[in-house]
Formats: sequence, C-alpha cells, structure tokens
Amino acid sequence: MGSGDISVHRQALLNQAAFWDTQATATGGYGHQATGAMWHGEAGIFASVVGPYNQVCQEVSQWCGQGQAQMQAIGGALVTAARNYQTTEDTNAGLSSAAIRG
Amino acid sequence: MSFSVAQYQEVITRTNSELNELPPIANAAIQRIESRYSWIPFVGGWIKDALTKFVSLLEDFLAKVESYLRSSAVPVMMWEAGNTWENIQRGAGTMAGDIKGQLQASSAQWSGIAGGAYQSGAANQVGAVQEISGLAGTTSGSATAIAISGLGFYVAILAAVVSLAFAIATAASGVGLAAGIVAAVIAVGAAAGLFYLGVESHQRTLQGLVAGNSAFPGGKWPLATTSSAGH
Repeated sequence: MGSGDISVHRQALLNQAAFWDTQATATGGYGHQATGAMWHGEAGIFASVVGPYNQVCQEVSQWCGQGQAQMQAIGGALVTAARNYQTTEDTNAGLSSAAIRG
Repeated sequence: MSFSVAQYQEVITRTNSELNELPPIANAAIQRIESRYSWIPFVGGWIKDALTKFVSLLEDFLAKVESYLRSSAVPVMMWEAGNTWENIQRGAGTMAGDIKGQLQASSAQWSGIAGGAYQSGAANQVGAVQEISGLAGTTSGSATAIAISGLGFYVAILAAVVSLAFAIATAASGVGLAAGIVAAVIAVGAAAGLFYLGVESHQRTLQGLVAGNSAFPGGKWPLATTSSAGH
C-alpha cells in the first residue's frame, strides 16, 4: 500500500468521523425532544396513560443520551485512527528519505 | 373522530361557561319550586328535603366535573406530542438508513482487520436507531389516540352539563330536578368509563415499549466496539 492510499483512507476516516458527529448531535436532539414532550402538569383522569407515557419519554431520552455518547465515541475513534494513519505515513516518509540519503 | 386544537378548546371553554351558569339556574329553579309547593302542609317539608338533596348532588357533580377539567390541558399536549414523536420517528428512520449506507460505503474504502472491527462494532447502532424510530412511531400513535379519546370524553361531559342545565331550567318540581341531576351523574360516569376503556390498550402499549426492550440490552444503548479501529 502506497502513501497515496493511506492519504485517501485518512480522509475517508475523517469524513466518517464527521458523519458520526452529525448523527450524535441528531440523536441527542431526539433525546431533548423526548424530554420536552413529557407532561409535568396535573394528569387527573389521564393519570393511567400519562405515567407510562412519561416513562417512555424518560427512557427514550436516556437511551438517546447514551446513543449520542456512543456515536461521539465512534467519531473520536475514527479521528484517532486517522491520526494513527497520519503518524504511520509520516514515519514511512521519514524512513524512505533516510533510505534514499543513505 | 379527529382532533382539532381550536375545536377542543371551544369545548373546554363552553363547558366552563355552562358550569358557571349552573348555580344561578339551579338557585332560580329552587326558588321557583319552593314558592310553588312550600305552602302545602307536609308536602312542603318533603319538597324542601328533596331540594336539599338536589343541592348536595349538584355540588358533588360540579366538583367532579371541575376535577376533570383540571387535567383538560392533557389532550392538547398529547396531540402536540404525537406530532413531535412522528418527527422523531421520521428523523431516526432516515438516520438508520444513512448509517447503514455509510457503513456499506466504508467497507469499500476501508478493508482489513480495522475496517472489519469498525463495521461490525458500529453495526449495532443501526438497530438501536431503528428501534428509537419504531418506539417513536408507536408513541406518536398512542399519544394521538389519547388526545382523540380526551376530546370525546370532554364532549360527553359538555353534553351532560348542557342537558343538566336544560333539565334544571325546565324542571317544574323536585322530581324533575332529581331526574336531571341523576341523569347527568350517570352520563358523566359513563363518559369516564368509556374513556378508560378507550385508553386502556394505549396504557398497555406504552408500558410494553420500555419494559425489557431487547434493542437496549440491560436497559442501555448498545456499546459500539470501535476502539480497535485505531490500533
């Protein structure tokens, strides 16, 4: 694999990292919407359905918060991988130069 | 029956207005009936007792309806929440497809051990996002149905209050008043019973959405295992 291939992979990784960051933000947004859709007023005759409904809002909000964190972690891992490729590319370039000079 | 926020608010406003009119209508009816029968020996006392009982039933009825009206904001909230959840359903559904497409595209760009770890590690995110979309769709359906049931319930309450007001205004005797309030109490009880029957299935549906959902093992969002991607 040449250094050109590594460069292409690195950009693809960074693109994917950006993709996951976008999904993380959207997932977090769904969680906020779920929290905002909860009912905090008097439930009265609706108590039998408002209780389970609020439970759904709460669970989905928590799951989306965790999902946001997971997707951010995926994006972070991809950035780390891109950095590792960059380091490998720089190291290989240095070794090649030394070999030519030597 | 569908739901219109304007129509619903009109029902609640009219119910409040009719409720406010009931006490003066009832007082006028009591005075009318008392003045007509109270002079009759023995019957006058019986009429007074009947009117006292009517006042007691009417107060209970007003308290019951007022307690129902205190939660009258719930159907509008449920209707708006139905729209919110529908948006989440659509957004998450699109996101699941986007993630799937991204993972498929990445397999062409990035092969080998690290690429495989990334694709298999991140694949479970698709299922979780799809599940959020499905949950949101079901929640949207339930919230909308609850809003519509709420509208039906309050329309029935309004009908009972209007019928009671008419019965009181036209009552010529204590028996007429008693019949009116008993009919209104029965109508409100029936409306509440029908409402509970209507929303019972949605209560169970909502409870089932979060209880032991297999897409979220241990009640948590599935962990991605992409840490190996950088190694």
